[in-house]
Amino acid sequence: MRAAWRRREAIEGYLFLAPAVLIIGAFHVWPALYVFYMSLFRWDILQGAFLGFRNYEHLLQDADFLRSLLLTLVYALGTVPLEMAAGLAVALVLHQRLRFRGLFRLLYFLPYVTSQVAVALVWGWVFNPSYGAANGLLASLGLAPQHWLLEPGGIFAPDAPPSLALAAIMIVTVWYYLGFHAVVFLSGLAAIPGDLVEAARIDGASGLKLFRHVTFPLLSPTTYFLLLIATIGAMTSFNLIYVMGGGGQSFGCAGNPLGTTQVAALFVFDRFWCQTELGYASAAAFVLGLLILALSALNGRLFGRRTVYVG
Amino acid sequence: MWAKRPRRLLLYVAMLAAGVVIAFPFFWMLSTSLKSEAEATTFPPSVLPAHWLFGNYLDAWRAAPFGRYFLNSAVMAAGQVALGLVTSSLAAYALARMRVPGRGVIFGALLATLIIPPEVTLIPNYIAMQRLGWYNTYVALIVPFGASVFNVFLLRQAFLQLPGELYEAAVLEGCTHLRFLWQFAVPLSRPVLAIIALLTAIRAWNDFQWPLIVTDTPDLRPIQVGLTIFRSDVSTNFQLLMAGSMMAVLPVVVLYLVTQRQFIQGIARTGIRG
Amino acid sequence: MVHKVYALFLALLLASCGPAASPSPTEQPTSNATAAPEPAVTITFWHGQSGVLGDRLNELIAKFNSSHKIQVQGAFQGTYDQLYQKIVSAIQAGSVPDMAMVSGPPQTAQYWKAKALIPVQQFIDSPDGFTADQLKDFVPALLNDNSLPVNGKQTLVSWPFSKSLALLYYNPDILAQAGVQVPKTWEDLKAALITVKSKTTATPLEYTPDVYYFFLPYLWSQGGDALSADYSKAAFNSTQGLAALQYQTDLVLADKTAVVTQGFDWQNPFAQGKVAFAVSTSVSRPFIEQAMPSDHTFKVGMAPLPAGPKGAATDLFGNNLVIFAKTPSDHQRAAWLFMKWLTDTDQTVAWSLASGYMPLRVSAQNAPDFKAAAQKDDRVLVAINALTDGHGIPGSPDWQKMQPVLGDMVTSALLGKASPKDAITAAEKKVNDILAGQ
Repeated sequence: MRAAWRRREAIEGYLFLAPAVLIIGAFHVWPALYVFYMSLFRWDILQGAFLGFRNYEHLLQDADFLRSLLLTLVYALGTVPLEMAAGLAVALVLHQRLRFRGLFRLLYFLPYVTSQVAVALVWGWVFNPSYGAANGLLASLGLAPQHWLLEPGGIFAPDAPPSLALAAIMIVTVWYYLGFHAVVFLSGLAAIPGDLVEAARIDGASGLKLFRHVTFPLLSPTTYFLLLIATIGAMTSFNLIYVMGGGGQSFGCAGNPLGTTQVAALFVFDRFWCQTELGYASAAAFVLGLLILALSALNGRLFGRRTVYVG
Repeated sequence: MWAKRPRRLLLYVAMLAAGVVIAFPFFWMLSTSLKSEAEATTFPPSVLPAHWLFGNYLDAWRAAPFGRYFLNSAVMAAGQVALGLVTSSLAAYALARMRVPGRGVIFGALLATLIIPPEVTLIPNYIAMQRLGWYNTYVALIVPFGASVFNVFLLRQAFLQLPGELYEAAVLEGCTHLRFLWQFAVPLSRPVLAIIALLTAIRAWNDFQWPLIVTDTPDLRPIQVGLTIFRSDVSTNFQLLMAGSMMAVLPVVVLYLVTQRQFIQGIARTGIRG
Repeated sequence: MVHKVYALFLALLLASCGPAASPSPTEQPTSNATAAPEPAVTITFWHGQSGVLGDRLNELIAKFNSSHKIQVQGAFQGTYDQLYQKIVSAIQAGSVPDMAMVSGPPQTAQYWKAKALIPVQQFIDSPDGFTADQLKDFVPALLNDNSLPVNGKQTLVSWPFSKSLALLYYNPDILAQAGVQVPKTWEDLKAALITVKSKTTATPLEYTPDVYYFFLPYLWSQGGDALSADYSKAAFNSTQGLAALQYQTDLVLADKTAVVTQGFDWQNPFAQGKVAFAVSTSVSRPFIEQAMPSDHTFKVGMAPLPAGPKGAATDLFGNNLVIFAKTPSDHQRAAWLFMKWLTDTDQTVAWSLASGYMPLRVSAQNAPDFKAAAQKDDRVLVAINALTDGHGIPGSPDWQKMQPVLGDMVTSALLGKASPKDAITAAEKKVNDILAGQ
């Protein structure tokens, strides 16, 4: 009787899963497998000789690829914590009873709804070396003008990443995704049962204490989720870096200047679409994927266990 | 109480300052959309237009069949949202609340699909569209994005947070899974569903690459592809592009204003002091 | 402003379409008795023209469709890069269009290497094609630009359509103020920039440091070349190549007369009269004029690129047309007939006047509409006269891999990151690695 009921539940469960699994399987899993297949071949426009894992061996000795992995790490470390912290701060403030709360919520979310082409154009003006607002600001502070998106020199040391160009793109990234994090955090805050917070308050918790011991732990599913999504997003980040790094220029490919903004996804794009080495690029995409998987697992180990669920 | 007032004021000032900085590029878009061609490209740039050319919006609208492009974007976004809400609710519920053998493996496999950059899956997906006969149809614009791991993940978190007693009580009452999902889980997770709808719609609305690759005719192309009319390989018509982009952003802003009520409800009861 | 431009284009188009509206004898200049009747098929044409140019192209297509059994369906597929991506995807899926635009010889070489194309030569040699005499009406530089070595013989693989080339732009007011002439040689230009810097407040030169605007034309004008004739080795690490890199490094770092920009960013300051010289493609002019403030206009000066000891040289830009191998033969033939019609004297003049691209035929320069336009404004002729000095971008399928290497070479020299000698040596090694298949 109980076994029959379990079997019924299992069948029903599979039926529930079927639509999503079918769509994701057909349009995400199958392509990923196809990409893996491509990575085993020399594949220019057309499929060429079978290479086994030689594309992978080659990748590990490719200085450009290794640099792109380092840049990806720098980019992720420089953006994810910042955009999450800023997003959380904004969400906490906007979660309160506040005058003009609706207006503020809109202001902070505006970047995220704007198309990235427009974003790239507007920030391109801001960072324009001859007449941009960024150099205007520097001038009014009595500082020397900079080349911004054209500058391959590092901000900490001349040859160490991130270059000023990548740093400028990182600023834009934080600006762009802040609203996204704020909104998801807001929904997380809204999901926290009011009576729990009320009870804590009656017990005398307030301010920072309330946040540290009640709100933040209860928010942990959201935080964990955002951390995972943002890390994966940053590691595969392409669009903003491509349009800001001169990738969209008619004669350029990805990662100007001097490849200092060529993060892993740009490396993949460059080899895939600009240099038409489809097999080699697919191998690079797979290596990047495995790295992200490892990092996500680590992420889960570090943070996942501390996630607190109510109920 | 006295001590609170200046702090409060300071908070407003800080929020406003940060808001202005954050919204500045957006403001620049708006301002440029009302300038003349010469003024839009001048330097140093003017903050406000010398003459407010609202006619730019009319020019932009008339430059291409934008009515059709808006319709296509709306169909694409609405289709993806509707399909996405259904598929992810069902899947997330199964993963969170049902004893399905191997659900851990399924969930892991789904998560793993997030890690391959979409720039390389374009070719297999394009081939799939051709083989399925979906090339140059609305189906190609909707179905491949009709389920997302991101949404399943987010909803699963929400369903896991539903009080266990509620479910047990419902089961005792003889409530089926589908009914429980529909009558309790979905209404109680409205904030998350609203977020999913919003984020799916924004993604669909701003998508460019995929619709360009899988369609051939203006009849099926969305707004972001339509906006390319203002850019050529040697130049950009800034003020019309910005006017067009402002028109394109407007529906998303409205959608945000409508849905945000959903996901920030219940605030009155909580509230954290700053 | 836009209306003005639209109106201008429209006026030019109407003017040029006037006589052609009635069935004209020039429509089929090679109407050959042995040619088979025209196939009644619908063909697809993927292109990369949007905006005003897209409208003009659609009008040309509509004009063709109304007078032919062949029906052409044009489909805009994004920028040249996106068009390339879509064609590569389509080749994978085996679902190519009948014909398409390609941005230049390297892409053509890629498709050719993938056996995706049928060479246009096949149709030129057919009854639908041209006699040797008729072919002479096309500028030789353009035919070279569309030819690839096939079995050791130069063969026309693609067909020219929208062609432009690199020119020197100048602001005559600033030149007058500084008292300099339009430079004829690279040395003249260098000296003129120094004079402009000392006598005016203008920026002497703004340009985007990709390999096309200075390095290649300078190299060619010294008698050098980028690659060996068979595209098997790098040839730019030579005294000519070093001179080409040293020249622009001197302008930026020593003379400080040149400012480096990104993409087409230089157009706006130039339009506002703040820059004396710029180097760009011949189709930039309408965009500069559009961006000019109405209270401060000037006549945009255009001149051929400066010459070196071996004369002047410039690179050919724009796009060509190709026919795909995997479509039925009657479609291929229909595609060729459409291409041929597009480059008939009437159409090439109309397209040239509407778009700013060059007319492709010698006879076009004598066409009444074109003569009238040239009489009104002799700048129309600058690009055409420079056409004989045009060099195609090397038709190596690996050029797309070399282009960023050369770009980095120029950038690192201009930023003082490496000496020109070191930069060019490093680039040579990378290019040779690429050509050797690593």
